[in-house]
Amino acid sequence: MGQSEPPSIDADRALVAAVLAGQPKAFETLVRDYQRLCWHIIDRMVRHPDDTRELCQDTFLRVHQYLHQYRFESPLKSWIGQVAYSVARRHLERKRIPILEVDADGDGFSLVEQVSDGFDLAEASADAELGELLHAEIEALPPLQRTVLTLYHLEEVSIPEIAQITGLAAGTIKSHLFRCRARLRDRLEKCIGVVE
Amino acid sequence: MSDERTTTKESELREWEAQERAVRAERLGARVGQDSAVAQYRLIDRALRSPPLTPLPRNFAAEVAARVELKARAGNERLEVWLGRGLVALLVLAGTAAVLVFFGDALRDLAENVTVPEATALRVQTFAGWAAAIAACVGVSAAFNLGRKN
Repeated sequence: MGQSEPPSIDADRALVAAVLAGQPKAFETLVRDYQRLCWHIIDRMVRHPDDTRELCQDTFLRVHQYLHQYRFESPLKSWIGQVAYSVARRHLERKRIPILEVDADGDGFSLVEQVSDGFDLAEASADAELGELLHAEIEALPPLQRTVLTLYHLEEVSIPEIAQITGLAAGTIKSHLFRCRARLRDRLEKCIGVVE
Repeated sequence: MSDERTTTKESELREWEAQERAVRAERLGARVGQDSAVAQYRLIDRALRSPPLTPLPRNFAAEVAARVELKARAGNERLEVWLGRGLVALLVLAGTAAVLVFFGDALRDLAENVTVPEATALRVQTFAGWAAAIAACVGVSAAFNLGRKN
């Protein structure tokens, strides 16, 4: 999936002005620029194709409705991401699905002290079983952590921007990233141990 | 106890640095180094960059834009309907005011000279009271429906 360059702040201003002036195709351009970000946030949060489509449409309807209130205090990307995140979060709350689960036994991982010798990245990348294991572990994460990891790794959104989108402190985002990745490595290391 | 906490913090910091080195190396497409921890985190980064996502529909942007336009048009039509109703109400008020201004004296004379039996007057009063109550109910119900729709 190709990474498109985010529009500059000037481009955002021009685009917002065009949408508010009701110029033809302006809103479609805005949706095209930010649909991928919204789709990924909502898909990672709700993990249901039909709900993702409906909630993503709902997000852009809200963006259109409240765009006149946007004051350029944060990048348009963060503002739209924030709308998408809150739409998805409200949906999960209505369905009584917790967005953040706290394990009874801490985070369910320990920092790997003994590293397997000579870990071959090329060989491991080609190992479909390891890939499946990692994807299964990622899917098993709670919605918030899954979304934070996707924003940081796939969308390459910075930690301060993720904090703006989710309304959480940057330190909390850092902590989620650290613990989830350490947990994934812990599982990976155990799997390699079993294979060997 | 304090030494243990310091050691934990140091090992966590090392782990964080390994995670971030792996992210940078994957973004830059750097060559694989000797560090096994970084190599493992690069594998994790690759998995995180390719999650099983629902594909984005091809015409999504056009569909959403069309839906927004439809909604805006419906809003405009609703506004037109309300403007029309407002105009009718204004005409009724203006008509009533004109009748009162031009024929007010004549109507007053007529009312003073025409004698109505008491029973008829009571019936007219009762009818007017019920009509006002029904009109008020219809008005409140319409306002409630409008509020709910909005």
